[in-house]
Amino acid sequence: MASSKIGVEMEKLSVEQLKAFKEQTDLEVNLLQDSLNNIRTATSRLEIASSALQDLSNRPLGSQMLVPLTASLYVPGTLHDADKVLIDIGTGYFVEKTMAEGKDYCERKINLLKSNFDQLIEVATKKKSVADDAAVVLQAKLKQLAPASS
Amino acid sequence: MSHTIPGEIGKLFRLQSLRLENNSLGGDIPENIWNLVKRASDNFCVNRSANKRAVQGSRTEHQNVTTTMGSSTALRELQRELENKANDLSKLQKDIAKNHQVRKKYTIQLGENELVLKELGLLHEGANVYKLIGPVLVKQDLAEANANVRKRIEYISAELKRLDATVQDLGEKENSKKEAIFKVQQRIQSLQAGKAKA
Repeated sequence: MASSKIGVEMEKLSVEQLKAFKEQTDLEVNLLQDSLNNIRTATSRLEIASSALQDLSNRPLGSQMLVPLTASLYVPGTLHDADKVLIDIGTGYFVEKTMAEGKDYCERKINLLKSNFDQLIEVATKKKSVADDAAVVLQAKLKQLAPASS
Repeated sequence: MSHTIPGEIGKLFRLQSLRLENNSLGGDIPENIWNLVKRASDNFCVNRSANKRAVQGSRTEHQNVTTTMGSSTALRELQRELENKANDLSKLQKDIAKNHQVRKKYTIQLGENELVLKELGLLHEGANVYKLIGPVLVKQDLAEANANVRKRIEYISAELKRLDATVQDLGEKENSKKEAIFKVQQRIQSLQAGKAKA
């Protein structure tokens, strides 16, 4: 319903205005797409963290492991304490939490991101349809103009 | 249809006069065009303000590139004034864009800090909180961390308010500048029209 109303408004615009409008909406669609991608990567990182915690909690104390210092340098270490984990909560703050709390944190963040993602995808699809409508109207206008000018 | 001015324009050695108004030109004015100006030196005026505005992102569809040979001093002066005003306008628009960027950054930071505050609020008394200072994690009091984040949010909110005020101010200035430019353009046009009749 809303899109048809916008469509009527678009009919009234001149070709130049329509072009500008389409460019604007395309830009917004791209921006939203970028945000969606960012959320997706953040979610996957949290999922990796969550599975790492799961993995860590399953190991017995004192088990040998290799700790990555850089991408290519690993040093041997032993698992000293698998019950307490440090969690980066942003802006330089880290909080010590128990394993269960850590998992809960990851879970919460993933859920938060998922709900944001759902909201954003709704907005993005709406914007996309508006941009598509604008493209269709623009094409029609250009076609109308073409025989008139030739 | 909109097109750009081709770069070859600089090769038109014998060009005496060129009028490009009322065409939907896009893109930048080619650098070469200034060769013409150099060659014809002070008899050559190029009204580039419209293009500058387009470069700034507010797309003007009708760009005026008027090159006039043998223009009177009054006209030249007006065009110089126009150029100055256009420069001022582009500076203003740059400021506005910068302001928007800073605003965006602060908004993101505000969101992050609010998340941290929420997270800190969920902790129970006596939880271990560390702060990353350079490469070192330093242990901090929960209350202290809480106060710190609160202070940050306060600061960022105040900063955002201040930025809003400046953006509004700059927008008003931009509009008045645009009006002034429009007036000068009108004067130039009337002058040119008068000369055409004469």
